[in-house]
Amino acid sequence: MRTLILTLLLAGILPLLAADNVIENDIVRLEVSPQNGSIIHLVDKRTNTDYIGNPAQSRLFRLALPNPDYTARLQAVTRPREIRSQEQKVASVGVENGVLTVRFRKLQLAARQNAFVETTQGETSEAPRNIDVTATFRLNGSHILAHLEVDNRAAEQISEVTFPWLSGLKDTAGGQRAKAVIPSLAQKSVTGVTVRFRPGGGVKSYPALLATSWVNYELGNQGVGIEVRTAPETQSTTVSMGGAGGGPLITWDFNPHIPGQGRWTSPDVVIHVHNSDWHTIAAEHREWQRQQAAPPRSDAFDSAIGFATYRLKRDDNTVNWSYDEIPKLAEAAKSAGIRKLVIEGWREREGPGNPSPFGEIADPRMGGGARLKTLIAQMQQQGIELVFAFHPTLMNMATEQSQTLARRWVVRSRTQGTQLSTSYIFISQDYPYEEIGAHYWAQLDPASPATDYLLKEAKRLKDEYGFRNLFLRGVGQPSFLSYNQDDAVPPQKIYAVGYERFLGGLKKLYSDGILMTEGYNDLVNRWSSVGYTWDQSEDAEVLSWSMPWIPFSNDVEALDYEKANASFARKILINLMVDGGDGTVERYTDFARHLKALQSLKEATAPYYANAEFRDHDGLKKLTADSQVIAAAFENRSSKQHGVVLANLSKQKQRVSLELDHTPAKGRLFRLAGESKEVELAPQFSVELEPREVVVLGLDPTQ
Amino acid sequence: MLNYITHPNWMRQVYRAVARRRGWLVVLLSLSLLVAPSVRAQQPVTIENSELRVALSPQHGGLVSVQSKRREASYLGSAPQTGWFRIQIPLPFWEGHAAQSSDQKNITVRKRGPDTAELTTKQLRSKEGTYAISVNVTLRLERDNLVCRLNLTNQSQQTVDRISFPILAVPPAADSKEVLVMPQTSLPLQAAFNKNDIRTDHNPFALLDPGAGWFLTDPLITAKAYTYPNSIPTAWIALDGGGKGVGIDVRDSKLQFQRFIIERRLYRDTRSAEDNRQDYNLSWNWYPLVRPASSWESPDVYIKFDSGDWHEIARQHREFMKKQVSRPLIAKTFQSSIGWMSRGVSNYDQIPAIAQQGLDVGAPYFIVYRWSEAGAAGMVWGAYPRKDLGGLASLRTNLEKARELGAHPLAWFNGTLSGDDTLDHLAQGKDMVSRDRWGSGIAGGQWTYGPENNVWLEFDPTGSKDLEYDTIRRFIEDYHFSGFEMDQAYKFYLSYRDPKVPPELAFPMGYGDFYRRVDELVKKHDPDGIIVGEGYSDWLDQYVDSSWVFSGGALDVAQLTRLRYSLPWITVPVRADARNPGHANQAFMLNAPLDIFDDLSRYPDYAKHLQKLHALKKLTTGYFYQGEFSDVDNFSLDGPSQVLARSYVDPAGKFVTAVVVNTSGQPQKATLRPAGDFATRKVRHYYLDGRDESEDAAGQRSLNLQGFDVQVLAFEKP
Repeated sequence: MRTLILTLLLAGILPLLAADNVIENDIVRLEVSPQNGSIIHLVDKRTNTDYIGNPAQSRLFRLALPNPDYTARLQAVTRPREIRSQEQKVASVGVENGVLTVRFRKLQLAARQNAFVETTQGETSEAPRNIDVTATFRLNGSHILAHLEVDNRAAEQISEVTFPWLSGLKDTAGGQRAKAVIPSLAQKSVTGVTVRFRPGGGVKSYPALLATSWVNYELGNQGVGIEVRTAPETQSTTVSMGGAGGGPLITWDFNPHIPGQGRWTSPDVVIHVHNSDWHTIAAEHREWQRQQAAPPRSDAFDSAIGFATYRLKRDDNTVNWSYDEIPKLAEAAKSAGIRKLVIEGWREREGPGNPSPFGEIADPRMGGGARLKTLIAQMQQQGIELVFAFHPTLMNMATEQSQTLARRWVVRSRTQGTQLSTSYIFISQDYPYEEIGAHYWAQLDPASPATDYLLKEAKRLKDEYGFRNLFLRGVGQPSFLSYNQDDAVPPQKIYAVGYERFLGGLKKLYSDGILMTEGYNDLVNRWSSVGYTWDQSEDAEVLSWSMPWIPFSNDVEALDYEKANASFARKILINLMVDGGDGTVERYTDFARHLKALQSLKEATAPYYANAEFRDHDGLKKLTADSQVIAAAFENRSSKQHGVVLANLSKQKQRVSLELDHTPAKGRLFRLAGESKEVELAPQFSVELEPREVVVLGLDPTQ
Repeated sequence: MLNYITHPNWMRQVYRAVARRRGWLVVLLSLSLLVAPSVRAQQPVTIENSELRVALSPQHGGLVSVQSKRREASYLGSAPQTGWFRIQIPLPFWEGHAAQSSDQKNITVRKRGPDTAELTTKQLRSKEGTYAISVNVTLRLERDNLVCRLNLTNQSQQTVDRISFPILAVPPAADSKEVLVMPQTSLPLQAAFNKNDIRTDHNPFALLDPGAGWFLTDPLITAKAYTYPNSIPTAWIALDGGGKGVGIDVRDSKLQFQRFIIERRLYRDTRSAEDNRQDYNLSWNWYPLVRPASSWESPDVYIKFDSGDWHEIARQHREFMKKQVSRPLIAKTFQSSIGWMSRGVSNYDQIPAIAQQGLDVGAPYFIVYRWSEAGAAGMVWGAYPRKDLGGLASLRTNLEKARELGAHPLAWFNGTLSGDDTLDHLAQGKDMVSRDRWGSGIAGGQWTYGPENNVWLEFDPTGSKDLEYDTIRRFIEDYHFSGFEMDQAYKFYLSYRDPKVPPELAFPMGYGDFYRRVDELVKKHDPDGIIVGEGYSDWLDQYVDSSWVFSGGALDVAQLTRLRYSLPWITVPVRADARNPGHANQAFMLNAPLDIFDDLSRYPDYAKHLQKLHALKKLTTGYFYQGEFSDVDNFSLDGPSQVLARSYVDPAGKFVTAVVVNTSGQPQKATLRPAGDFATRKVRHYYLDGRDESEDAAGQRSLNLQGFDVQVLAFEKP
């Protein structure tokens, strides 16, 4: 009976006490568990949506404390050695001066588990660690400003901190399935159940796969997102839409490597609770970046729709074209209005036989270095820029040099193992990858002496072969932690520090030229003229909207009118790549003419399009168009001019009508065939697009 | 339409070049008229038998046409053939340098008999020169097969390191629904390749995104490769569609490394992608090092032209292979079991209780995970008992306790990898790993994503076999395991590590020796001990009591049926689904061991069902292991889709057994009709409730199946 009375009393008292675990304003209500600090409710009052659908799966943070035989990351055999907030008891939780503070003292390590087979559990033998954690939350409109502070008074290093950890997220609302949107160079819209069989399946690295630092989880036209206002050092986000391992979640993962007796405070983390989709968080982060980092704008392709890629030689060293055939390749590209050529396969040895990074050598059988130099100069006089592939990220471990230099020059794991390269995947039937994909390449550590060597090589290429521009293969793809003991740089800063030296050095060396990175992110974009980004056609607007300073590219095959037009509409450069670089556009005369017309259109509309930033549908109202038509708005921030691109992807005529915010009375319509005319815009603008036509509507500011 | 086939190569090139410029059509036609009479003068060489008529180019012996007389079907259409072979003669600056048979000017094509022909050349020409390499290709017809064999003698100064033979171009099916069928999978080809766009390398951002998992296939890449015996478990493939099939059945008894490549060839229109055309070039690839003054001969390769039913090629290939491979003596207890338990332990004291749970349901085998200090990459260097789980004494004591209960605990083990961060690797492992043709190690694994994804290198078993044997000896003799699971046992690479070992034979030589020795060791210490190995192939399953599949294996009846029909003497497990007795029934029907990951104390009804299945399995074991899995050969079944049946046929003809299962919880009726003389045989009828009845012969049998019922009907010779 006493127990019953006590229980009833507690049941009545606890909710009163729980008021200290809530902060709210007119828009947002955040509630953490008074027991373990997990974010158990995250409510948008405007829509009465609680984003936490399953509080039992909610979390707050996670710390990883690896030791040599027990990893930080999920592996096949063992789960990470970690501290999980949901297994802790909060020391205190309270609200003071509008700040919700959750404190933890002495944290308990999680029990060791196997990742893919159930383990019969026993008692954990690990003692609590003398680590304090404090999480704070402050509201600012629809934003929650969050910080995590870790006071590591234990002896062990804390390598990784996951915060915030938004899990148990609601997966449907109003009949709509949730999706996550991320500024990724691969899959940008994540839906359905995340592949769980590969440990770490939801982890997206930054700055590498992830171009910039936000992640959005959306249910129709509402959502919650994490924006991290951080320097571009190695981090990641984890995105899961649920599956065998639990419900949907989004997290941010820092790698601060907090030493024993050390402290760390997270950068500003903003949890967005918004009545919109990813555009909101992306735009806010874009403007923060603009203000904070002042990212340089590249004008290298302001007057070009893109470039063409040719592979002079294949990976088995079969020659497609000799150096002397480069002018012929340039002619073909010119027929499509393209005057910048990326030249792959120029080296004496290509493929796994190249002694990278010691194999940037011209091929005497293809014409030799001197001939190359002459050709480059000739081409330049004709207005053709050749961008030669340079390979500064991989070391071929079959070479003799690797036996002595690899230990110092390559990215090393915590256990001083060699990091598996970004180009590796375990199983693929795609040929010839299937045959050569398991070749042992190591990742060069940019903070190592390899950078000095690579800079010398870059100078030699310029002096000896006359290179004017470089295509930096692989740069922008890796963002590993390197524990190479010969580096005096923290593991998470290897790329930030190393690229400052390497890319900064190249920028000086090739100050008048193009530096093309095979990656696109906050880090490498500081020095890059353009991102060579393969295929970005799925959800292409995410990157165009988020990072309008540096252009990036889409591979476009012969006859792929749809992709060419869609790329133009999103202001993505066309990388004309016929037969994977083994062919030319010469046979496809109509298609070449089409590309040339796009080039002319770009030249004619520079202030409205080329010099403007992509704004997706901003300012467009009552847009009526077939799904085969893409409409995109552009804003020239300096001249205040605007543009609207309408691209017909289909082979049929299409009618488009739209209204504009802040409509000037008249605009100028530029058509693909070359003519332009003044058009009435009010009350509605309407135009019929010819099959596969692209038009640009130029809008000058109202006087 | 231009006929690419009946014109010489140079002329085809002219056609292609001219066809790109329609304005030159008149020139093309004029040229064709001028040359045509001389071409017509050289008639194709034709061989034929009662089934096939095959026409060969008189210039280079390439296939011109293949016609089935019985089916009145033509197989090659207008797909341009590139000749029978491609010989790779690597040069210091060009490893891909090769001589293609269609480019040879001096091939002699001779008809040797009505159904045989021969192609010979004394030397090979390429862009780089002429090489004293003679090639002889013999062709003969056998039923609906064109049987080919290549012999090569190298008198040049170069080493040949790859031979593509045979090469065959095949058009798409008339209904555009062609499927590449292999024992382990089937691939609808129209979806496998992009209709216009081509990529020559993987998109690196797709590789960076771990959402792709361990696998990546890109439809923009125009060729797909499957290696034998790593990904093709036994060497046949078939391209089926539109009522026709072209298959390749390779009769190799050395079990050497081979690679099958299917290349989609795109003929892109100059104006519209909708008008693009495509066909497929199939090649079988061999990797011997044929050094100067040496020779090489391919095994017979059967190219089968049939109706497109994969059973035909699977059957003829298995009848050959079963005489080439050895079969393990599978432990008796394993034969009558329903599978094994899979569980990690956080204390060795848990081992007997888990083992008992398996014993209770007829799964006396228990794969113990997490027992070792080292994970997969370091197991060869660190497969020692863990102190935090109780140490060596506790491990041994608890394994012995489990064995006293009647269980057979198995060590989870990966002996295939050497993590490059270990001192042991630097001291020893680096000299034991496989080397690719460029001299580098071969990376394996990619177990996780992120900063601790160490490179693990693949062992070459000719280098590592003694080390691996010593490790297994410790498991068996010192720790008292009853056997082990060999993780990633399916792997099979070319290895150029040891110049004395042919690269294509390094794995069968090394692992052949290893498995023979460890099998003896295992059986000596526990006659019912077993070895299970990841993957399946005619090579691997010579040495293991059962295949093993990562995370248990999916129940894909169609896929498992094709695989088991091709390799009827092997067993392939599926992961138990403790919520679905019908799933267990289908596994029983396929003789697929259940890999039980669940704690069965939470599923008492399922556990009871397994007990019944086990009792039935004990009564019928002989049919499963003396008989060969035969899909639905020798009987037909009429019934609802919830009722499935498969047969096991004694090769000596003593019995045909039909295993009939009800996958649903509702009672079902079905009618079983034995074929041929089996209808005249008496039947032993086994029921899930333990009954065993003898029944008279009948042309058809009405079956009443209870919910989740299983019945076994054996049609036996008296």
